[in-house]
Amino acid sequence: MKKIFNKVDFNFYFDFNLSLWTISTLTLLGLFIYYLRNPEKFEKLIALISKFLKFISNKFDKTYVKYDLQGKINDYLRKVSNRTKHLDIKKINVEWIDVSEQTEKQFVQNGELILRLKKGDHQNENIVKASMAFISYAFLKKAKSYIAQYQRESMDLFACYDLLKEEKSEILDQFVQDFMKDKMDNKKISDFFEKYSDIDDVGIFYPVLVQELTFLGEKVFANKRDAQNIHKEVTELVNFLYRYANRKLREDIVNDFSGTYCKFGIRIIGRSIVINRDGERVYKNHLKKIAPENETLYLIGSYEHKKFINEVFNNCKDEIGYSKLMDDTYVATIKDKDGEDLKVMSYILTVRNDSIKVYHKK
Amino acid sequence: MKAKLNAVHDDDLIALLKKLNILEKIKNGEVKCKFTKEIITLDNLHSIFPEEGTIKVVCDTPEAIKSLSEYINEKNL
Repeated sequence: MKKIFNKVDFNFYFDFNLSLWTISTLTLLGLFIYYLRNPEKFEKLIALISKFLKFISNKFDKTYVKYDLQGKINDYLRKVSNRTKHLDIKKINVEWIDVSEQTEKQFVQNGELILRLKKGDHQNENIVKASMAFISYAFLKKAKSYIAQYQRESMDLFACYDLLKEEKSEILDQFVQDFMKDKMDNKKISDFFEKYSDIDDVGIFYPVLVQELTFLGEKVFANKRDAQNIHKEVTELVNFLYRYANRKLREDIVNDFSGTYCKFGIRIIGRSIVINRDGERVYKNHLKKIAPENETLYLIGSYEHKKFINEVFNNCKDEIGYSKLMDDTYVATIKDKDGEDLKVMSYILTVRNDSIKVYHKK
Repeated sequence: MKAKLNAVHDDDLIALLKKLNILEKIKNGEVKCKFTKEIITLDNLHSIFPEEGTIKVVCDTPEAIKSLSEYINEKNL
């Protein structure tokens, strides 16, 4: 009898160890895969660990400052690159200058901008300054070379605001106090900023506006262009999307933008009543009527119609000659019939005309 | 594409300025901000970049940082 109990005890002990081992392995494996797929989260983890270790040794301060900054900016870049294709920059690396290799002669001849980052106790200040420098340097670099100064500045301010708005309130406050307040006194900049805000509320700032500016940048980059025409077209593009953003539910507005550089259409698919009554037919017919010079189509609808939107497109894509570029699900604040805000879960499918010259290769 | 942001940590700042031969000038109050003309100190230094054979220094006032941002855009620094 005693022997049997011993055996039972032994088995129980063995199973428990095995389970613990399995759970630990699976957890570690899960974490490994998660961090492999989200490197910016791993950077944030390193920053968090170094934040505590810097109290033990000052050596960890540099690690904290670097990875905290990198993690925050790369987190934003990942969000944007999930919603916009062909971005110039998808990741940023904060590189500490190797002081031993610097000489005055070499720096004057081949040097690049060096940003001073303060110790971790001043990390809020570091984040605001580095974010401003990064957005100015890297965000929409090609397009920003050709658009007007007020368009560029308002775009930088909005992107930086969007980058910092998820951070601690002190960081956002410092940015608003130091950088936004003065700029917003400029009527043109504040007007554009407010329009971006409305466009972002309906969820199309990155997937449509930034996307179209990315295409515009690819087209005009290193080509002959007319600066005044570009400035005018960007203003028209922003106004077009602003009108779309303020469209009331079921209101008919112009859905096509046919500029010199940006040629796209927005199609809303679909009203439940039309889907139930006519199925795909009506929407397919609309897509078939798209102007031949159109380059991009943004098919937007309720998230519950995601499958239907894809079916409509897949069943006519060969005929219209378009291919899928990307899709995204997002929360949008649209206007109901009375103009009141209405939060909805939306879906966007971006498709590109196959006949367009390839401006960007992966 | 991956972009890099060159940076110097406070721990290495003095050594860098020494190597670039501007530490003494800064200590003597001889270096002014490229944009605001404010005197650069070890406390208010924001960034350094080369231009036309000289080293330019930027102070950390919001005005100077905004000018630097616009300068980066225009000159593709």
